[in-house]
Amino acid sequence: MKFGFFLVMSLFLTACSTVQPWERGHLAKDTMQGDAYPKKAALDRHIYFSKEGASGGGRAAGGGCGCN
Amino acid sequence: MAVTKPVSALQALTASALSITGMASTHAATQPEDTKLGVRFTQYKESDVTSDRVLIGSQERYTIDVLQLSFQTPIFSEYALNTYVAYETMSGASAYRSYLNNSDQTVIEMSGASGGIEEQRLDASIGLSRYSKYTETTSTLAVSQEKDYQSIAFSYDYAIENKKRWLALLSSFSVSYDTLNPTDADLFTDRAVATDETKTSVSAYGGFNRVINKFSTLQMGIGANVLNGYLSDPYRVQDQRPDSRIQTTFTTQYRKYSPLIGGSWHFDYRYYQDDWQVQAHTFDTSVWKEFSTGGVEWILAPSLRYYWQHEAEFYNLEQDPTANEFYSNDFRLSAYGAVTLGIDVFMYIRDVKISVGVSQYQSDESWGQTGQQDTETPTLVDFTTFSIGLDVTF
Repeated sequence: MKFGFFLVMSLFLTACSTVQPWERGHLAKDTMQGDAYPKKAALDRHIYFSKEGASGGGRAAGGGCGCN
Repeated sequence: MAVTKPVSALQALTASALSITGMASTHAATQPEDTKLGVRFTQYKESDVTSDRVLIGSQERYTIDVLQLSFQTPIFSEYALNTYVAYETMSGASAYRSYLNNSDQTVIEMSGASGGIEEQRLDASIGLSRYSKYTETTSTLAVSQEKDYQSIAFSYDYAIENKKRWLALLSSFSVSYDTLNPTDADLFTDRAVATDETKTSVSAYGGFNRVINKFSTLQMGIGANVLNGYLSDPYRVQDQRPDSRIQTTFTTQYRKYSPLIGGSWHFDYRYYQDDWQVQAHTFDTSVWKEFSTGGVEWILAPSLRYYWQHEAEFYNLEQDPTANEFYSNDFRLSAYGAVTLGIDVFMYIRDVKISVGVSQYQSDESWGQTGQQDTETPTLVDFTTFSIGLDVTF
C-alpha cells in the first residue's frame, strides 16, 4: 500500500526525463494513443459491457442499454 | 498520412486520456486541424448453446450487425465538434433461465420458441470540445433508443496540463437516466413486470497521464459509478437484484514505442469491484506494428485480452429460489474467465484509411482464478466479430 502511494506520488512530482517538443514524434502517433482506433474501442467497450459482469474504468460511465 | 503525421506535443501528452471504457471520443488537448469522416461495419455472432442442455427454445444465440458513423471537425479557432452514431440490428435468442435439475445438471430455457428476438438499437452522441493553452473541456450528450429501452446521458470532461507538458490531470463526470418497457411480459407468469421502470447512474473519474520519456506514457485513474433503480434483468424469470449498485475501478494504461519492432506496445489493466461482491481483473495487450510496401503504409495489430471475475453474492442456480431474497442465474454474475484473441489490419492510402479486423472471444468457468468454479455455466457466451471500416481525412 505504501509502496503504491509513493509510486504514484513520484509519478506526479518528478519528471523522469525532459522530453522536448521535437522529441515527441513517436508519442504523437495515432498508435500511441489510449484508443488507437476509437470506433473499434467504442464497440468493444459496448460488447464487454453487455456480456460481462464488470464495466467502467476510464472516464465517466454514461448511459445503459437493454443489453445489460 | 495518419501513421506518421506529427501532431503537437499537447496532443501527444493527453490524447491517451480515453481508457478501457467510457463513451466519449478521442481526447486531445489541442484542437484537431482536420475534418474526419468514418464508417465501420461489424458483424457480431455468438456460438450456439449446447443442445443437450436446452429444455425450451432456440439454440441459436444473437447475431448483431453494427454500422458506426463518426464525424469530427474543428469549429472557429478553439472548438471541435464530435458526432457518433451506431445502428444495430440483432436477431436470435437469449437464455431467460438456467438452473440445476434433480440430476445436478444445469439446464437452460431459451427464448426463441416462437421465432426468436428481432430488435434494433440506435446509439448517438454529440460532443463539443473547447481548447485553451493548457486545458480541454468536452460536453457530450448521448442517447440510446430501443423499442423496450431508452437512455439519455450527459458527460463533462476536463483536462489540464502542467506548463512543461509532461503531466495532465484528467477528470470526468456523467449522469444518465434510463427507462425500461420490456415486451412480452404476459408470456411468463413468474417474470416481474417492469413496465416504465427506470434507473439512474452517476459516475466520476479522476486520473493523470504523464510522459515517462520520449518513447512511453502512463495513465492511471480511479472511477466510481452509482446505479439506482430497476437493476434486475426484466427478461429473466426469477431474477431479483438489489435496487442499487456501487461500482469502483482502478485503471492503468501504458504505451511504449519500440524502434526495435517499429511500432507501439499497449498494456492496459483494470481492477473492478462492486457491492454485489463482483470483483474482476482485465488485462489487455496489443502490438501496433507499422510498415510500408510499395508506397502504401500498413499497421498490423494483434491483440490479446484476459478477463476473470468473482461471482455476485446472490448468483444461484437453484430451481426454486427462496422468495423475497436476491437471486439471479445470469451467467454475467457467475465466476468465470474469458480470453479474446484479435487482429486488425490498417492500410493508409493518402488521406484514406481502410481497416479490417477479426476477433474471437471464448469464456469458461474453469478459466477464472477465484470464486466458485465447481458449477458449470453452460450459458456462458462465446462470440466472433468481423469488421471492415473506412476513414477519410479532409
